[in-house]
Amino acid sequence: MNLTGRTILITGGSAGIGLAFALKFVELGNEVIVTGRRQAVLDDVKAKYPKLHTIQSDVANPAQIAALGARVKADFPKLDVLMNNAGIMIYKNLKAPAADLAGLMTEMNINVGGVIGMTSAFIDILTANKGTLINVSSALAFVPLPSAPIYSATKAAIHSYTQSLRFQLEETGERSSSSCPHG
Amino acid sequence: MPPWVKTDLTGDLPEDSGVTLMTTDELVKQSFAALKAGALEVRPGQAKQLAFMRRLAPDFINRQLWKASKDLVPVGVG
Repeated sequence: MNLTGRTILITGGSAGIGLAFALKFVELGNEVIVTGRRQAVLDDVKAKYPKLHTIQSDVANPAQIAALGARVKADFPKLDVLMNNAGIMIYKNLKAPAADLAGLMTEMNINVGGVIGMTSAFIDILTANKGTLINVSSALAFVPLPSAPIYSATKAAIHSYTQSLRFQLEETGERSSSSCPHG
Repeated sequence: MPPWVKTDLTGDLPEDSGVTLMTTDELVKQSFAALKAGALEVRPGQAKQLAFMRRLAPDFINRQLWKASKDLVPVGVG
Protein backbone atom coordinates (compact mmCIF):
# COMPACT_ATOMS: atom_id res chain seq x y z
CA MET A 1 0.00 0.00 0.00
CA ASN A 2 1.30 3.44 -0.92
CA LEU A 3 1.36 5.45 2.31
CA THR A 4 1.79 8.96 0.90
CA GLY A 5 -0.29 11.32 -1.19
CA ARG A 6 -3.58 9.66 -0.24
CA THR A 7 -6.87 11.11 0.96
CA ILE A 8 -7.90 9.11 4.02
CA LEU A 9 -11.08 8.92 6.09
CA ILE A 10 -10.78 7.39 9.56
CA THR A 11 -13.83 6.67 11.71
CA GLY A 12 -13.39 6.98 15.46
CA GLY A 13 -10.34 9.08 14.75
CA SER A 14 -10.55 11.49 17.65
CA ALA A 15 -8.69 9.24 20.11
CA GLY A 16 -6.77 6.01 20.58
CA ILE A 17 -5.76 3.89 17.61
CA GLY A 18 -7.67 6.05 15.10
CA LEU A 19 -5.95 9.27 16.16
CA ALA A 20 -2.52 7.60 16.25
CA PHE A 21 -2.98 6.38 12.67
CA ALA A 22 -4.35 9.76 11.59
CA LEU A 23 -1.32 11.65 12.91
CA LYS A 24 1.10 9.24 11.29
CA PHE A 25 -0.73 9.53 7.96
CA VAL A 26 -0.56 13.34 8.20
CA GLU A 27 3.16 13.14 8.98
CA LEU A 28 3.62 11.12 5.78
CA GLY A 29 1.96 13.80 3.67
CA ASN A 30 -1.60 12.54 3.38
CA GLU A 31 -4.88 14.45 3.59
CA VAL A 32 -6.72 13.02 6.60
CA ILE A 33 -10.33 13.35 7.70
CA VAL A 34 -11.34 11.94 11.08
CA THR A 35 -14.85 11.37 12.38
CA GLY A 36 -16.15 10.96 15.91
CA ARG A 37 -19.41 11.07 17.82
CA ARG A 38 -18.61 13.96 20.14
CA GLN A 39 -18.19 17.42 18.63
CA ALA A 40 -16.40 18.80 21.71
CA VAL A 41 -13.73 16.10 21.46
CA LEU A 42 -13.33 16.75 17.74
CA ASP A 43 -12.96 20.48 18.44
CA ASP A 44 -10.13 19.73 20.86
CA VAL A 45 -8.44 17.48 18.31
CA LYS A 46 -8.76 20.15 15.61
CA ALA A 47 -7.29 22.80 17.91
CA LYS A 48 -4.36 20.56 18.75
CA TYR A 49 -3.77 19.19 15.23
CA PRO A 50 -5.00 21.81 12.73
CA LYS A 51 -3.91 19.76 9.71
CA LEU A 52 -6.59 17.17 10.48
CA HIS A 53 -10.07 17.62 9.02
CA THR A 54 -12.77 16.71 11.54
CA ILE A 55 -16.40 15.80 10.94
CA GLN A 56 -18.96 14.78 13.55
CA SER A 57 -20.62 11.50 12.58
CA ASP A 58 -21.90 8.41 14.38
CA VAL A 59 -21.26 5.13 12.55
CA ALA A 60 -24.20 3.53 14.34
CA ASN A 61 -26.60 6.00 12.71
CA PRO A 62 -27.41 5.18 9.04
CA ALA A 63 -28.69 8.70 8.35
CA GLN A 64 -25.44 10.19 9.60
CA ILE A 65 -23.44 7.74 7.47
CA ALA A 66 -25.39 8.82 4.39
CA ALA A 67 -24.85 12.50 5.19
CA LEU A 68 -21.15 11.89 5.78
CA GLY A 69 -20.89 10.09 2.45
CA ALA A 70 -22.46 12.97 0.55
CA ARG A 71 -20.30 15.56 2.29
CA VAL A 72 -16.99 13.75 1.91
CA LYS A 73 -17.60 12.88 -1.75
CA ALA A 74 -18.34 16.55 -2.46
CA ASP A 75 -15.49 18.01 -0.42
CA PHE A 76 -12.83 15.31 -0.91
CA PRO A 77 -13.40 13.74 -4.36
CA LYS A 78 -9.94 12.16 -4.29
CA LEU A 79 -10.78 10.05 -1.24
CA ASP A 80 -9.02 6.73 -1.74
CA VAL A 81 -8.62 5.20 1.72
CA LEU A 82 -11.33 4.34 4.24
CA MET A 83 -10.20 3.09 7.63
CA ASN A 84 -13.11 1.60 9.57
CA ASN A 85 -11.75 1.99 13.08
CA ALA A 86 -14.63 3.14 15.33
CA GLY A 87 -15.49 0.57 17.93
CA ILE A 88 -16.46 0.02 21.53
CA MET A 89 -15.95 -2.81 24.00
CA ILE A 90 -18.18 -3.63 26.95
CA TYR A 91 -17.60 -6.34 29.53
CA LYS A 92 -20.74 -8.47 29.81
CA ASN A 93 -22.18 -10.94 32.27
CA LEU A 94 -24.05 -13.41 30.07
CA LYS A 95 -25.57 -15.19 33.07
CA ALA A 96 -27.79 -12.23 33.94
CA PRO A 97 -30.66 -11.01 31.71
CA ALA A 98 -30.00 -7.63 30.11
CA ALA A 99 -32.11 -4.81 31.48
CA ASP A 100 -32.04 -3.07 28.10
CA LEU A 101 -32.26 -5.32 25.03
CA ALA A 102 -31.62 -2.42 22.65
CA GLY A 103 -28.54 -1.46 24.62
CA LEU A 104 -27.35 -5.05 24.32
CA MET A 105 -26.89 -4.47 20.59
CA THR A 106 -24.77 -1.32 20.90
CA GLU A 107 -21.49 -3.08 20.14
CA MET A 108 -23.07 -4.88 17.17
CA ASN A 109 -24.43 -1.62 15.77
CA ILE A 110 -21.12 0.25 16.06
CA ASN A 111 -18.50 -2.46 15.50
CA VAL A 112 -20.34 -4.41 12.78
CA GLY A 113 -23.17 -2.23 11.50
CA GLY A 114 -20.87 0.77 11.32
CA VAL A 115 -18.28 -1.03 9.23
CA ILE A 116 -20.85 -2.50 6.85
CA GLY A 117 -22.71 0.80 6.51
CA MET A 118 -19.58 2.88 5.98
CA THR A 119 -18.18 0.43 3.46
CA SER A 120 -21.39 0.48 1.47
CA ALA A 121 -21.63 4.27 1.58
CA PHE A 122 -18.09 4.73 0.27
CA ILE A 123 -17.55 1.72 -1.97
CA ASP A 124 -18.33 3.66 -5.14
CA ILE A 125 -15.75 6.42 -4.61
CA LEU A 126 -13.15 3.96 -3.33
CA THR A 127 -13.59 1.78 -6.39
CA ALA A 128 -13.51 4.78 -8.74
CA ASN A 129 -10.26 5.97 -7.14
CA LYS A 130 -8.76 2.44 -6.96
CA GLY A 131 -8.59 2.91 -3.22
CA THR A 132 -7.88 0.89 -0.12
CA LEU A 133 -10.19 -0.23 2.65
CA ILE A 134 -8.73 -0.92 6.10
CA ASN A 135 -10.94 -2.59 8.69
CA VAL A 136 -9.66 -2.64 12.25
CA SER A 137 -10.35 -6.04 13.71
CA SER A 138 -8.76 -7.63 16.76
CA ALA A 139 -6.75 -10.62 17.86
CA LEU A 140 -9.97 -11.50 19.66
CA ALA A 141 -11.41 -12.37 16.24
CA PHE A 142 -9.36 -15.57 16.52
CA VAL A 143 -9.94 -16.45 20.17
CA PRO A 144 -12.72 -14.82 22.21
CA LEU A 145 -12.14 -12.94 25.43
CA PRO A 146 -15.09 -14.41 27.38
CA SER A 147 -15.46 -11.30 29.57
CA ALA A 148 -16.10 -9.23 26.41
CA PRO A 149 -18.22 -11.76 24.48
CA ILE A 150 -20.11 -9.43 22.17
CA TYR A 151 -17.00 -7.41 21.31
CA SER A 152 -15.13 -10.62 20.46
CA ALA A 153 -18.04 -11.78 18.27
CA THR A 154 -18.11 -8.45 16.42
CA LYS A 155 -14.41 -8.68 15.63
CA ALA A 156 -14.79 -12.23 14.34
CA ALA A 157 -17.59 -10.93 12.11
CA ILE A 158 -15.40 -8.12 10.79
CA HIS A 159 -12.55 -10.50 10.06
CA SER A 160 -14.88 -12.72 8.02
CA TYR A 161 -16.55 -9.76 6.28
CA THR A 162 -13.15 -8.34 5.28
CA GLN A 163 -12.10 -11.65 3.76
CA SER A 164 -15.25 -11.67 1.63
CA LEU A 165 -14.67 -8.06 0.61
CA ARG A 166 -11.16 -8.91 -0.47
CA PHE A 167 -12.44 -11.51 -2.94
CA GLN A 168 -15.31 -9.39 -4.27
CA LEU A 169 -13.00 -6.41 -4.79
CA GLU A 170 -10.01 -8.18 -6.27
CA GLU A 171 -10.97 -7.36 -9.86
CA THR A 172 -11.79 -3.72 -9.16
CA GLY A 173 -8.27 -2.57 -8.30
CA GLU A 174 -9.39 -1.78 -4.79
CA ARG A 175 -7.69 -3.45 -1.81
CA SER A 176 -9.07 -4.41 1.56
CA SER A 177 -6.89 -5.06 4.59
CA SER A 178 -7.64 -5.94 8.16
CA SER A 179 -5.62 -4.98 11.19
CA CYS A 180 -5.80 -7.07 14.33
CA PRO A 181 -4.78 -5.02 17.34
CA HIS A 182 -7.01 -4.85 20.34
CA GLY A 183 -7.91 -1.80 22.37
CA MET B 1 -3.60 -12.47 26.81
CA PRO B 2 -3.92 -10.84 23.40
CA PRO B 3 -1.86 -7.77 22.57
CA TRP B 4 -3.96 -5.08 24.16
CA VAL B 5 -3.36 -1.53 23.01
CA LYS B 6 -3.23 1.31 25.51
CA THR B 7 -6.40 3.30 24.67
CA ASP B 8 -9.61 4.43 26.34
CA LEU B 9 -11.05 0.96 25.74
CA THR B 10 -8.49 -0.60 28.02
CA GLY B 11 -8.41 2.24 30.54
CA ASP B 12 -10.52 0.39 33.12
CA LEU B 13 -8.33 -2.69 33.26
CA PRO B 14 -7.25 -3.45 36.80
CA GLU B 15 -3.53 -3.10 37.38
CA ASP B 16 -3.23 -6.73 38.51
CA SER B 17 -5.04 -8.12 35.44
CA GLY B 18 -1.81 -9.50 34.02
CA VAL B 19 -2.40 -7.68 30.75
CA THR B 20 0.58 -6.25 28.87
CA LEU B 21 -0.38 -3.09 27.03
CA MET B 22 1.14 -2.14 23.67
CA THR B 23 1.45 1.60 23.02
CA THR B 24 -0.32 3.17 20.04
CA ASP B 25 3.10 4.30 18.79
CA GLU B 26 4.34 0.72 18.68
CA LEU B 27 1.11 -0.40 17.02
CA VAL B 28 1.44 2.31 14.37
CA LYS B 29 5.08 1.42 13.77
CA GLN B 30 4.33 -2.27 13.21
CA SER B 31 1.14 -1.63 11.22
CA PHE B 32 2.69 0.89 8.82
CA ALA B 33 5.61 -1.42 8.15
CA ALA B 34 3.18 -4.24 7.33
CA LEU B 35 0.95 -2.03 5.15
CA LYS B 36 3.97 -0.67 3.31
CA ALA B 37 5.05 -4.25 2.60
CA GLY B 38 1.62 -4.94 1.11
CA ALA B 39 0.24 -7.14 3.89
CA LEU B 40 -3.44 -7.92 3.52
CA GLU B 41 -3.71 -8.82 7.18
CA VAL B 42 -1.76 -7.00 9.87
CA ARG B 43 -1.15 -8.97 13.06
CA PRO B 44 0.85 -6.76 15.43
CA GLY B 45 2.41 -7.91 18.66
CA GLN B 46 1.12 -11.22 19.95
CA ALA B 47 -1.83 -11.40 17.55
CA LYS B 48 0.21 -13.70 15.35
CA GLN B 49 0.87 -16.12 18.21
CA LEU B 50 -2.78 -16.06 19.25
CA ALA B 51 -3.90 -16.99 15.75
CA PHE B 52 -1.34 -19.80 15.74
CA MET B 53 -2.43 -21.09 19.15
CA ARG B 54 -6.03 -21.16 17.98
CA ARG B 55 -4.98 -23.69 15.33
CA LEU B 56 -2.54 -25.62 17.50
CA ALA B 57 -4.47 -25.92 20.76
CA PRO B 58 -7.85 -24.16 20.60
CA ASP B 59 -9.27 -25.53 23.85
CA PHE B 60 -6.13 -24.61 25.77
CA ILE B 61 -5.94 -21.03 24.51
CA ASN B 62 -9.69 -20.48 24.97
CA ARG B 63 -9.45 -21.58 28.58
CA GLN B 64 -6.34 -19.46 29.18
CA LEU B 65 -8.20 -16.35 28.04
CA TRP B 66 -11.17 -17.23 30.21
CA LYS B 67 -8.96 -17.70 33.27
CA ALA B 68 -7.13 -14.44 32.63
CA SER B 69 -10.28 -12.38 32.10
CA LYS B 70 -12.77 -13.95 34.53
CA ASP B 71 -12.48 -11.11 37.03
CA LEU B 72 -13.50 -8.55 34.39
CA VAL B 73 -17.04 -9.94 34.11
CA PRO B 74 -19.41 -7.50 35.84
CA VAL B 75 -21.22 -8.99 38.82
CA GLY B 76 -25.01 -9.22 38.64
CA VAL B 77 -25.40 -7.04 35.57
CA GLY B 78 -26.44 -8.35 32.16
